[in-house]
Amino acid sequence: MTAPGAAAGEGPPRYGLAALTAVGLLGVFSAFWRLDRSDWKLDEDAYAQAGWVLVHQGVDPNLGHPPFAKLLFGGAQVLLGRDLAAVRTVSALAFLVSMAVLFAFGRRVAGWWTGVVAAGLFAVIPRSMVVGGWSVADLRIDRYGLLEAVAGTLVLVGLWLGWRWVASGGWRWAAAAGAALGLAGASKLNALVVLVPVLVIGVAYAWGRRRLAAEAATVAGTAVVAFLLPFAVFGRRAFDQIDQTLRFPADRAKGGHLLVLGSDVYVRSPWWAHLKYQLDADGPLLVAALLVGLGCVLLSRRRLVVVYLLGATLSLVISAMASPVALPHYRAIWTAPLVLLVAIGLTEQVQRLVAGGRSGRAPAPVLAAVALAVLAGSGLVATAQLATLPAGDYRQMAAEARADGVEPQRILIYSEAVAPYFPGAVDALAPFDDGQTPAQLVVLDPSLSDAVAPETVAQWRDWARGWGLQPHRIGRLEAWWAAP
Amino acid sequence: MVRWIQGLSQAAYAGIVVAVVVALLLLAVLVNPGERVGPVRPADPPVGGPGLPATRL
Repeated sequence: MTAPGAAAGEGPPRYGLAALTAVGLLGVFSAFWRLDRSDWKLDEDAYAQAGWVLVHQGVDPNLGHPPFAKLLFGGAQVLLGRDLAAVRTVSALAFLVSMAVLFAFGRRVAGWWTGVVAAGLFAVIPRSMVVGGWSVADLRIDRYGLLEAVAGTLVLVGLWLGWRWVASGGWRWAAAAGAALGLAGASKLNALVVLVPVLVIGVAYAWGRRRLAAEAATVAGTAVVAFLLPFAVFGRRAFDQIDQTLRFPADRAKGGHLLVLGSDVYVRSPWWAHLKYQLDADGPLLVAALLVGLGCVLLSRRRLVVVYLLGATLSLVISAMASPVALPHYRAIWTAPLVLLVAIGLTEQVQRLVAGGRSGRAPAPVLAAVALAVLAGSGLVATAQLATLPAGDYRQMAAEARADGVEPQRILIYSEAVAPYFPGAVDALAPFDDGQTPAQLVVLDPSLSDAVAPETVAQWRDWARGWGLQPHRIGRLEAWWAAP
Repeated sequence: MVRWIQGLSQAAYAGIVVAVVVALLLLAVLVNPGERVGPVRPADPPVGGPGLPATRL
């Protein structure tokens, strides 16, 4: 089912191969350049450790999230060594797979240039994280060893295979789509919500086709099997783990998650949290360009695939908005289909502009060209920043502490992970500590500590003083240690 | 369904899409208003700001 005007399977246009090659090289650079330069994130360390233990012992110390992405992180450490580069190599490879699928999907539904634009925008558009005014990540969330880096790619693959099923029918496409979406859910549970629009829209589009009900059941059935399969690593405890995974979102929602949004502290993030995160991280110009792209996609002749992709993207965005736990990296799971929608909308309008004539002088093609220029420009600036990416505050802090001869065994943190910089050390989260056991290093990060009462921070500082530590400031961090 | 979507006028199609998006957003607003604790009260001196806390002798 290719909409009128689409150019499924067309050969490359003039300069098309050169553009695709350039985008591919840019993608490899964006995925891998200085991959381990940015600091460990707290969740990233938790998933890396969980993956290592999962692969070796079939036990998951990271309770709640399903195991598939963590298994990949663990497997990468077995193959490549137990370090940050190994963990993030999984995300980097997923990044490249996303680019390849974006090109293939875009090309099939809207022509070669849409595919190139989609893959290219994904490669370069900055999408970092800002919490409470503090930048807490480098340029692209999907460079980190986070669950969304894997789940987002699998969601996109599932959408691509799902579209092939919707358009052509067939058991193989149905099973493949279900498997990809099931594995996406086995990486991050909320990814399963995409099954709803894939099935509803797919059945609606293909209504009356032979074997439709059986094929739809195949999508659902293979998704369930693919979701459950990674839990086999737990052996007899698999059912307990599945139960825990399914109950985790509700349990977590009850407890909430203290976070700063703007100048206020929330224990349950409101529906607009992700919009705030995106605006703070990307800036109003980039967000406006994306909105122009979404506006243009409403003008697209390719309505069937647009409705399909919108349905899938909205299912992820709205379910995230409805959750009282909103962290800034969650948007990595819907970035790829969103970029594809924007690419479809902008490319179609820019092609009208290039073709000339009266329609080319309408507002939409001109706006689309401006938006595309803004996105490409932002991407080029981000690429230049990536080329010169410095070491993060945590890496610098660890280097200074080590230079002073500090070799901590216990590190009290209200920050990102610090223990990975000190072999043999363990991190203890300050909010859950009673201060009775001394730590040799205390690290506070304002992106987190701004959410707690000043009296609490004062108490942590008193503990540090009591342990004979002195304060140091490195970037945004406050770190306490004592030279031996 | 396919013919219906493709047969809609541009205005009707865009209107329906926008209406669905707005309806879903309203649902999210109703379901998740959030729970505000209060304004940010930075530590004194602020973490990450000037004026590191002095170490008592």
